[in-house]
Amino acid sequence: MAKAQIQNWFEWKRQCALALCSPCTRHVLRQFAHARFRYYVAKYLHRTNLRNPAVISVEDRQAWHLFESHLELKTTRRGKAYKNWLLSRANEDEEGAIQALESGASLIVRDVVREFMRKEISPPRTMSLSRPLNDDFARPMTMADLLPGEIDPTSKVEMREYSELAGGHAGDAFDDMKRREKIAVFCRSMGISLAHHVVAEITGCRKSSLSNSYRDAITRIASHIQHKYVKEDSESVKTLTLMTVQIVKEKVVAWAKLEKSCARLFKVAE
Amino acid sequence: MSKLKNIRRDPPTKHQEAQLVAWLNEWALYLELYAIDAATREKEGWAGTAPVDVIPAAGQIRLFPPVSTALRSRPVYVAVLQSEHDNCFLVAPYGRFAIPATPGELSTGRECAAVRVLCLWNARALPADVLRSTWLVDDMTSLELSEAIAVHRNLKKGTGLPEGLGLRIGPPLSHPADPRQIYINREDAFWDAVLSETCNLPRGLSLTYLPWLEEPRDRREMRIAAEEGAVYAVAKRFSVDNSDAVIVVSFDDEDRTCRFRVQTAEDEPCAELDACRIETPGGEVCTIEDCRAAMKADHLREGFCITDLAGRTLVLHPLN
Repeated sequence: MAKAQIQNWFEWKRQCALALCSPCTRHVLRQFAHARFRYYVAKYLHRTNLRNPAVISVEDRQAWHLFESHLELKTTRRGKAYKNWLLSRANEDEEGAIQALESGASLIVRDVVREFMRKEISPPRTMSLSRPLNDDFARPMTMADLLPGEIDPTSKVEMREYSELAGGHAGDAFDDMKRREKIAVFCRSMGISLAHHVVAEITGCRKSSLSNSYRDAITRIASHIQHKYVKEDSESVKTLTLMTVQIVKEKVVAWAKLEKSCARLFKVAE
Repeated sequence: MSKLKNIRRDPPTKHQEAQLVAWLNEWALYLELYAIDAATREKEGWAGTAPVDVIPAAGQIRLFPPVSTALRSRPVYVAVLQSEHDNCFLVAPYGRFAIPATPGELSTGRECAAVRVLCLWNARALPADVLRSTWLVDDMTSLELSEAIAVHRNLKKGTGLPEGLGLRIGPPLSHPADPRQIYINREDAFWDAVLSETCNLPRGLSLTYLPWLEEPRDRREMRIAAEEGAVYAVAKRFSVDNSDAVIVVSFDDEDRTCRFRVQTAEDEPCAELDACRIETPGGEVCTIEDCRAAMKADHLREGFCITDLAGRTLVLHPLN
């Protein structure tokens, strides 16, 4: 049966469009796209407790159309090269071929669902610029803090001075960091949960210890700069602190690329 | 005396605010869906042989084959920006989202999800022979290419942007707690993995060569004249992995054409490779029909490969 399923996909590639395929192939592939589409939608609704799911139903023909056209640059053979990518995952004579092919198709359907959601529905927790951020720096922050605005061209000289100061402070701060702190900062920089089992294996620590390590590292940087520039205005000190933390994070990521124990963490990230 | 001078900033524009909110919403959507099915991310499996497509050139849009772990996790499209030293090309990957995340990402204006946003901040130099093992998908317009290069140059050298491009790049990024930092770090690491894996790909092994075409014509003819029999009169035979077919290539000196015949070991016509394509690095293509194909010898001078309907390159072995 797996061989027959593979042949459906190869027929689709040979014929260029599903409409030109046999009725059996049309049915099988539409059902595949429809089933995967509904799977991801259902899981997303469950995770986000979104109400009124009826708006997110599509027919099998539409599910297939969304899948088939998602990566189609043009209606030429070259423009549909994603089919090469998809079918090249499977050697039809080998065991597991249909799984390899369908896993690739599922990756595409997941992106199709994401695109569909983006266009058709409002997310359950819509972002707004007044939404509070996780407070890493002991000061209230909102999304608006992510967009401080373009630097006035007349301040570019000052900005360079800030960059130099921040670079110096970041170098000292990085040198003072313990390995556990570096890994905690790296994980946060890559969006890896500190509770991930790989993180625990590498550090020998639980999430709570690593969270404390992260907070200690960042707080130490902020406290040092606050103390050193105690007579300066708070906005300037905040700017310098943020720049220093950013450079420290970049140094940590660069360090992790060379640190053998972190190789597994890159795979966790994606 | 104050050590820290005031930084003056222009307030963010409404457009930048709207872009940031839209991007953050798309990012949240992506994280939710991505977390659903870890098993879908990629399956280890058959990798196959890299394709051989037309030689790379600036302005092309190309797609990487799924021949490694990173490249199996999602289709990777790149824009070829310009040639570089050491037979390399500067390429930039296209992004996963509809909205540009930072000033280093450019909204292309194309509708296809694969190529809506070009990530110039992540541009790298790739060897030409690695790029040859990717599929050519489309060509950028000259305007698309010049805009991409302008954004890249502005990133590297602060040269400024042509009018109108400012609205098509992403909002500024500076805060260390901005979720876009995570996105940037992940995409950077992903592209590192792609380069690490692809640059270890065997290259050139997919091409088959016809020895009597490799020599410059004048030297070959001189050698032939000195011999009793014309070397090129001997047809070249190749077996094909995972197939009973034998490919016989002969050279017709009258019209300087190479003729391909597909047959069994018993010299009977074999239709197993019908509809397969004979392709050259120079972009010449012909299709095998009724067990036969033909191509001008000059096109085959740099070798050829045969691809099946799935775009996989067949592995040939010379028998003589």
